[in-house]
Amino acid sequence: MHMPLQETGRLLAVLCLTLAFGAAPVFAQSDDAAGRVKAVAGDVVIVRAGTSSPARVGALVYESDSLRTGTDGQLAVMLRDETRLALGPGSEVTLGAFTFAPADGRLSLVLRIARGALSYISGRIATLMPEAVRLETPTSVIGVRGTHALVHVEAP
Amino acid sequence: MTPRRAVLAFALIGAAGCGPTPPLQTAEPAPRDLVALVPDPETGAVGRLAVTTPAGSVELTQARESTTVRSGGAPGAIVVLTEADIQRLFGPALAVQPPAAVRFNLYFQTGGDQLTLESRAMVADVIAGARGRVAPDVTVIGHTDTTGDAAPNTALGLRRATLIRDLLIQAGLDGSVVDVRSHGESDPVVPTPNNTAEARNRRVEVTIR
Repeated sequence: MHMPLQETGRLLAVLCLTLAFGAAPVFAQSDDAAGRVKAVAGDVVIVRAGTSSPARVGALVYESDSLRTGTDGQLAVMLRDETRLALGPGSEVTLGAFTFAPADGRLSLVLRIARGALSYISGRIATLMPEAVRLETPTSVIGVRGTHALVHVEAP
Repeated sequence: MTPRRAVLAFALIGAAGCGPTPPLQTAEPAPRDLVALVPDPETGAVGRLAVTTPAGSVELTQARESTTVRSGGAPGAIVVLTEADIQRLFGPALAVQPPAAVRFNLYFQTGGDQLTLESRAMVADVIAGARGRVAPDVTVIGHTDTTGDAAPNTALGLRRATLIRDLLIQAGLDGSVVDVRSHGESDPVVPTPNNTAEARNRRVEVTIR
């Protein structure tokens, strides 16, 4: 197979980037993590800093991560403050902000639903400070005063 | 011309006259968002949701109430969904919803890390609770009453919490998912003056999620 030199260079660059990011530790202290994957079915990836990796049960979820399910995908995540999230097929949800430091009074939870179906059940952030929780869709902002919200966003 | 298109055309003409032209958008079909409020699966409690767009706001307060929003519009009138509607849109998500976190309180004899008899019997329930979960996370927080000084009580709270963590690890739980900390005498269940023995405050709180 012949490849133009430019193309080969680009491929190498991508490969190097993949290796550099791939070498990062998979597990970190659970204190830094926002939550953990509790259930996966079908095709599901976690996108972190532009790199996507398959979601597995037990994987940690961090602030700024995007969760994406394929057309047959389902995903469940429990956040550190006991917030529960479940995604149906064809969904994309980004953990826009997560801060759970009740001792310092620092609490925030922002979820951005780009498409698909999300089931959200409040955790302790919503109990302690309801105004710290915000669910965002392409059209709306949803304020949560407890407890169980369902959000569906049609793909554009 | 539909009213919606008329409004859009008017907006474009207006914008062209008084500032930079916004990117041209196709008016139809606008993506649609739906927001619904449903009862908590464990307690049955129904909360409250406020759905807000630049054009308006709607508050959902009753079970299965929903509103739909199209790009640029206000949230639509409240519609009560049927159970079938909810299953059609959210069935696969609801099917994998994780169970609620569970909490246990284990109590200690005064001054040390000896569990009370009743709480010793409850350790098996805690272990079963953790084993019954997929990929569990466990938080173990030690507490004391206000007998003695704050600093040694923080240390005592940590000893109590560590004891419980060790019991969980002995039972086969992965230690890396157990978070151990002490609140010492600073977080009593029953507020008391300083130097007060209070059995309900001498505890370790275990949360499994």
